[in-house]
Amino acid sequence: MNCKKIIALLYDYMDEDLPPDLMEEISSHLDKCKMCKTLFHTYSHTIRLTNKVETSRNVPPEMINRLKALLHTKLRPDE
Amino acid sequence: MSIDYKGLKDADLVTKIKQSDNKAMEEIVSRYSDKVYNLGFHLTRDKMAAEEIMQDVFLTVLSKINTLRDNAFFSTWLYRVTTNTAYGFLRALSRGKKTMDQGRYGNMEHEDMYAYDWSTLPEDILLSDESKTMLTNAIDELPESMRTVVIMKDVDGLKNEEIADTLGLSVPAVKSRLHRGRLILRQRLSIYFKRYASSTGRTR
Repeated sequence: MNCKKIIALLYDYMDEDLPPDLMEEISSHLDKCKMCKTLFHTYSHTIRLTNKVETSRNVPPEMINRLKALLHTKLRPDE
Repeated sequence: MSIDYKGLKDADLVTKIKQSDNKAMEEIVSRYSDKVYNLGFHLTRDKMAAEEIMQDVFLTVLSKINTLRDNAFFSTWLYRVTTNTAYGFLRALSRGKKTMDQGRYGNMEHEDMYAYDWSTLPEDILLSDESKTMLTNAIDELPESMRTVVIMKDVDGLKNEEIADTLGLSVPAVKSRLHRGRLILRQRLSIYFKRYASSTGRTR
């Protein structure tokens, strides 16, 4: 296992979507290689921060009202 | 007998919308307006555009719902409609700018890849307003192919299969774009946090 291969496999490693022996091989490389361990930590933190940074906002109620009013003009009248 | 619309599955609501049931449509709007608005906003970075996209998307739901053959795939279909509408806006605003040369990131410098372990910085530093703004800008500047999947997966939490369906890509293609996008963001964060750490004497 070399460091370049770690970069390529990191995605599947994080998802635990690799054969067990490969998972094991990567884990033991990460234990030994400080550089790759840093990559692993910062990669997973990147995902975590991305998840936090753009937290969804709620649509303002006025906007929902405008949407509903607009849709109302297109809806068939209730029978 | 009154129907509990909130208790219905999407697929059942869609069946009712196809029969011109207005209350079912209202329930779909309540369920999905935030998601549609946010995706539109993330893709265009423009609040006014996001509102127009949201309106267009739900108008499309009304006019095109009959083209959705399997009601169970409503949410995927809705995401696809939203993405297409947002791309239409981007084209119209001619903001579909090519932001970064993708090739540049194909072979990132080995040393830089591993630079500095900022993951141990305190939470208030990692999630400061400045770092969030920096990361938001970095997401904006991703090449469009990566930006869309990063937003759908890491921001909106869709599954790879849903993203693949929505964008008409294979799952491996989604994973590859996502991985490259994440690596670019990681690199930008590393540069930012390293600069921060040096300025505060945190990196020895």
